[in-house]
Amino acid sequence: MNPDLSTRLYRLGLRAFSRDFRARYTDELVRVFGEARRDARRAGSWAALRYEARVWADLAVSAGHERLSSMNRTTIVLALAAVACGLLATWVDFHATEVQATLLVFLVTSFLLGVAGPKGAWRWAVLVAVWLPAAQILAFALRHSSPAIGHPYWSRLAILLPALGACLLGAYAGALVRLLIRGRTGHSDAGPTPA
Amino acid sequence: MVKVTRADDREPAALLPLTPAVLAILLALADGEKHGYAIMQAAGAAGGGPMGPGTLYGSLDRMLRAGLVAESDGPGESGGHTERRRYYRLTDFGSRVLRAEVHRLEQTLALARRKKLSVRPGAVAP
Repeated sequence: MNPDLSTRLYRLGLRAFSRDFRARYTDELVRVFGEARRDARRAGSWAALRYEARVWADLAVSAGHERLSSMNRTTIVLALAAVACGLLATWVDFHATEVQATLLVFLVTSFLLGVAGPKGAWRWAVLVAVWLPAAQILAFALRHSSPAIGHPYWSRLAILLPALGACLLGAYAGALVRLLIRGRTGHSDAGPTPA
Repeated sequence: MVKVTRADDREPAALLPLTPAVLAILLALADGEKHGYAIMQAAGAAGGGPMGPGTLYGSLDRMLRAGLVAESDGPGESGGHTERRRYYRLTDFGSRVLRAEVHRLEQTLALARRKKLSVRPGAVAP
């Protein structure tokens, strides 16, 4: 691979790390990546290819580890709760006769998650929404559901759009409510204005 | 800015056992300060297998916070690099943790030898 392109891709891949980590180590990481790649290329193209593969696997594992260790406990709990809500919505969708029931679960659970964690509320929306289309595709692949109208996989993947829309709406409504509550609390905390 | 834990009062044993990456980095720094790529090469040469840049700096970040290593000025570099490299060195606490881990490994090895499980150099493990 072209060294410049390889470095640019690696620099892009570093976005998987948290912002704080990137601010401290991006230059060093890119420098070490370049030095090790240069030595690997000297050892031959097979060694260079193996190096590239190893570096990307290393980036995926170390960035995941770094992200998890930089998360606070509230974020981890909310992320797990979002996954549970997504699985609940999927279960409801597979058992309910009307789609409104699933939408209601999406809206209510995302709203509550938005209230609990207003910062980066889109993350809860994504974590709630992805499970239904994934389960639909899996169910079709395992022949547990009837064929859909249109393309069997794309039509099921398209469920992600309304699911994500409902979850984003719920999560940001929750975040807004939380901010409004915080604003009102802030006024009352300030106490009476002296005359 | 990395927030460093005050390490002086802590027992090294509280951090044991060390992960292979942390042990390899501490061993690499045992004979003096090094920059990132030199640590990576030394860790690979020590038999711990090749270490990627992400693992190296992820581990160094956690070790800085734990007070095992510290950044150092390093030797003055003459040309070649437009930006200065970062150098790392063992702290006193890092040295104590490394010694405690080596002692723990020696005890494990002694136990394995008593059970006749040790493998002679060159022999293939069962």
